[in-house]
Amino acid sequence: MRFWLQRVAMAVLLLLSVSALTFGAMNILGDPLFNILGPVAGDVNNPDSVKLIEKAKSEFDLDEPLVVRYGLWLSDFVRGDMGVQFSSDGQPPVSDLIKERLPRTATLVLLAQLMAIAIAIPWALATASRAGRLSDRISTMNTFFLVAMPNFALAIILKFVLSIKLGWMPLTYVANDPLSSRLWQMVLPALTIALPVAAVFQRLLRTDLITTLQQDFILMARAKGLSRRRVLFRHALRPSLFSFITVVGLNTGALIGGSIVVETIFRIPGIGSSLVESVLREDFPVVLAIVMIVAVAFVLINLLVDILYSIIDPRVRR
Amino acid sequence: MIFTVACGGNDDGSGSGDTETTDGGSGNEGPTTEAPTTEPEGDPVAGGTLRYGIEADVDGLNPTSSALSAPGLFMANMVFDTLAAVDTEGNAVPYLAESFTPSADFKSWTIKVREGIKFHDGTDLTADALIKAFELERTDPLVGLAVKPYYPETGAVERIDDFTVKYNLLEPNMFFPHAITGQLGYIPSPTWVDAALADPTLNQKPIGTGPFKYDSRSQDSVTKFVRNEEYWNGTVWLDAVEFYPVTDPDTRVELLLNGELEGMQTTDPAQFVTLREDPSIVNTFDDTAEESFVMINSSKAPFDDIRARKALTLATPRQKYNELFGLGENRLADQMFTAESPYYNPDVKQEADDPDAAVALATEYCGEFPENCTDGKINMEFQWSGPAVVQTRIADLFDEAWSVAFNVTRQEIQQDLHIQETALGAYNVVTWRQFGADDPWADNVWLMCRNVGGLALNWPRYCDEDRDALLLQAINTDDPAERASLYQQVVQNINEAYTYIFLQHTIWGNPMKDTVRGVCNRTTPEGVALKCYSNGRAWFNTAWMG
Amino acid sequence: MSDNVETELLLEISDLKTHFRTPRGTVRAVDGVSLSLERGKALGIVGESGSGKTILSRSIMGLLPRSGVIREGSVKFRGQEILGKSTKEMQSVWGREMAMIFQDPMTSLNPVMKVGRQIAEPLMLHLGMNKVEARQTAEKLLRDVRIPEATRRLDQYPHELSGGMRQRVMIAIALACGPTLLFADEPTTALDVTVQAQILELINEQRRDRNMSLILVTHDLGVVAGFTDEIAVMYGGKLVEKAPTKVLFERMKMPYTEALLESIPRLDQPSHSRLAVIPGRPPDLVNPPRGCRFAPRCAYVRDRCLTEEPQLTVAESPDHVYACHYPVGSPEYHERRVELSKASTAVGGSN
Repeated sequence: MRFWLQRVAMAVLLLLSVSALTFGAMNILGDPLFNILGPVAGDVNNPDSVKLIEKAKSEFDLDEPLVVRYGLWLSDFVRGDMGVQFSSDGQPPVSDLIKERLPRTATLVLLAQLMAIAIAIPWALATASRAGRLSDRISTMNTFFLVAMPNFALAIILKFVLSIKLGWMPLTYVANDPLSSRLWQMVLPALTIALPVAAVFQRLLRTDLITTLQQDFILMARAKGLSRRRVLFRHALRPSLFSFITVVGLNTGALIGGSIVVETIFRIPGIGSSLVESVLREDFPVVLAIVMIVAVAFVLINLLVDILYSIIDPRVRR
Repeated sequence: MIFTVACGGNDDGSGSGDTETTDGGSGNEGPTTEAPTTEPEGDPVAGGTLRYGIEADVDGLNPTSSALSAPGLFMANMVFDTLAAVDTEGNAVPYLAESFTPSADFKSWTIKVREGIKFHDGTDLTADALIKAFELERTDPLVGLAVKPYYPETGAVERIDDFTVKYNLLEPNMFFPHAITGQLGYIPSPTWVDAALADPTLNQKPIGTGPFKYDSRSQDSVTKFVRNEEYWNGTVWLDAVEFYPVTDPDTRVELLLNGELEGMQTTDPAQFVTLREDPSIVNTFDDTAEESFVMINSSKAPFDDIRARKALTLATPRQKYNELFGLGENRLADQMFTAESPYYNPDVKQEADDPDAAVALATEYCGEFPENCTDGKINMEFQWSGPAVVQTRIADLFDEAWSVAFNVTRQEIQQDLHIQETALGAYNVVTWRQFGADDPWADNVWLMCRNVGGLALNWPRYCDEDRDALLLQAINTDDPAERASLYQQVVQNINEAYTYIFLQHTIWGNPMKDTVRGVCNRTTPEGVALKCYSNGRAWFNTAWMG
Repeated sequence: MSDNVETELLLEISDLKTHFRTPRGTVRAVDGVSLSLERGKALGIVGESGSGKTILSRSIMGLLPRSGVIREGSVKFRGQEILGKSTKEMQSVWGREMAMIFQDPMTSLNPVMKVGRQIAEPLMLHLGMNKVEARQTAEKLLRDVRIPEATRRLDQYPHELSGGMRQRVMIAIALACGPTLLFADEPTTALDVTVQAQILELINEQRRDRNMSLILVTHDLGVVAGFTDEIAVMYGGKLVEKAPTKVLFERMKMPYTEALLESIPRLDQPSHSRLAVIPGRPPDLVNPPRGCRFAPRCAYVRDRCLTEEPQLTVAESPDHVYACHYPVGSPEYHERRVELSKASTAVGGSN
């Protein structure tokens, strides 16, 4: 119990630091007034413009000191009010944007994570049981290739081969297509993110599997007459999953990073592409909201990893 | 008035479009470099969805508050009708308006709209809708920049009766109807614009009188319009039109060639060859619209001195730019008109490519203003919008060439900020793209003294009373020869001011699948054939899928 | 020990060689061993670590890594050649016909699988039991190996059990499908001395009850003494002496066997300290000595031993074979023994 309390306290502290740093950075780097009003913000000799400037300042507390604004933002944020999009026409609420776009990115990342795991596990099992042989060495070359390849290049190759040449996959995402089509349109983008991640997962799991396969209980399992498959899946896999699961958790960040590039290439209007756009526009309520969502997701996933540990290994149960 | 104009000199075609301009005036019948192929024979059939790829998405589709660029104007063409339209001869003819009548001195124009037209929300089109649209546009801090300087503070619009409005101007203008062929000519539903003031999300759901009704919109993905069954000007054949913002030009072409789009817009010459090679694509190319150029801020040191501007002009590698970025497709530009235009001045040539002369001028300048120089070279800042690979390569090219006479500080910033800083005069040198309105009158906003201010559309902040006089005279005559001569003088005046270094004429391509037909069948109710492509956009009132 | 059972030749090994290819060269881990075992009998394979005894047992069973291993000779199980069989074919033999109890109960049970499931696994696989039947059988097996509170244990993980209990679980697993041949590879080495006897007694009792044959692999002659019918002594990958247990203890021929016997630990000594008694190290199996492989460490070594490899020779009783030029009891042996005792007295005297 105390362990979990500590974990939660750490998570809260982490989220506070992330938000404070982001809030500070965005305010130092950009002028929120410029975001809200556009060129008018600089038009200080025109009384009409000045009126607009004053109105915006009071409406968004821009005259308050940074710390006070952070406090105001934080108290709004924890109550679910993420502020407004400064740089959009009419300043609509950030939550509109998030509600519209988060499900797309969440689907993409989740799909990519599932694919990465679904690819990595059988791949690692296949290569670990043939460690050192030709097929394993070819697979090692493939993993280095995938890991070294930038996401955008992989996206373009996959798109060229699977969509353009073979015509198996749709080229882009269309937000108002029916759900089943949209999921299908997500497959290629998710695969683009998943492949390099799967390669990393596979390397790691393969190494751990090789170690596990040298354990006495594997020989024991073989001596029972269990098939190679069953030995791998039922006996070798689970005890080899520790570092794998840790990395799956930690890699969520990389996955979200990958989604930024991939969302742009496959025209998925998700929070990844919004993040890039809002950083460039210095639209900090949007940046903050997205950064916080990603941070919360990261913390939750790693909490989940801790829970998974105890499910996988009875020895660490408390 | 067309609100077009472009910014940032986006020769890669991506993410252009942000600003606006008003315009009006007489016909500029610059020919298209490749005339649209004649429509295949056949009777129109109803049905089908036309999917169209645009360069970028827009923040909103409200003509009274959104600064509409080429993609925005294209989508607005579906939902809204303009009061006037440009015919195939380049004249502005009544469209939503039934007639427009000037006063004897051409200082006011009376517009009567057709009766019985309904907005998509069921309300009637009346004089009040025109007045509401005009007032909102005039008071909008950005859209108003192009409107305010040309109308009196009060009494700019008068309601004559339920369907008639009188527009009062500051100066006589024989070409006023051209002002209502673009953004200022769109008439949105007054109920809707009022509601949008209270709820900004409605800016994404436009309501007009146009051939298509807004259906749905997912920003950065797709915007869908469906047939207006009760359209007032003929049958609309297409079930729906969908616009897909695809910022990467290669992807846009890919989608077109793979049959996932029926049409697209582009200014990227690298795509033209591919597009020409596909027999199923009907290409429309037009280079009479915008020019790309280097723009110099004449209000700030060092370029408040003409010698510094001239030095930069002479140091500019214009030929090489054209080779590298025009790819043999774009014509070099010497001025704001192409050679086919009646206003073209054959004696005006854009100077450039003379680094030795540039060094001499810089040395002279630095002798006088050592505080603006380091090591005998003029200090300057070059700003462009990014990140974009092509823009960076352009910057590299200029940077290298200019460095014979200048110490160039490079600044790459996001496009909106880039435009903001340019509008506020907080820049030295930028690359830019504009001009080429249907009528040159519309380009006055970039050129006149009254457009220099806190926020200015006269970006170089260059004021010349003589030039203003020429520009005003040109809208106060309907003698084509006199008009031509006046604009030729304007061209020369611009050339001698050294505020723009013209590089090349932008080509707008509107490739479409050959299954799309009837795009150019659009006419007024009186049967006057209308221009079907303009500045990268088109109308689909009469389009059908064969 | 199981005298009243009709004899049936269960296992017949002839000239079995198991070599490993390594970067250093070919390791001749088992180098031409012939053995046979009747149904219901217990055979002890004795030798130091590195003598090849563990490899021999795994080689018989076929439980060796697939790559880099050369197996030659013949292994006949119930009259059928099993040496060349594929892993897949062997899977129906493993756990069903042949089972193995491993040395270290701490590491030989899957740490993340409940004990009950580990026992049930071969039952479901080989005997086609469903989950419920398998669980009931597993519980019965746990009782058979005298684990208290069997029901509760089924749902425990190995780390919740003591070392002795874990070894009992291993035995239960090995016995699960009623194999005809049980290998026990140093089954008690890792256990507390007090538990060792209980475990051995359990194995022996189960062997008798089930009419199994047993191959008990150990370095400890003391262990095999009470639980086997016959003993095979291995050294350097070769069989150096084989005899019925009783005969061997009475009339052992190999000085090596004798040395092993002398190294039987006393109960108060910690395990694994015992073999220090034989000086020197086991031979390098990549480049084994030319003559007798034990010669470099043998107290009774003579020139002939270094050049000429002794062949297996039949001793007084026909089922007793050994490979030594100067066996225990020979004149040369006695001569050297006298010298040795003198020498040790001299050393002792100087102290």
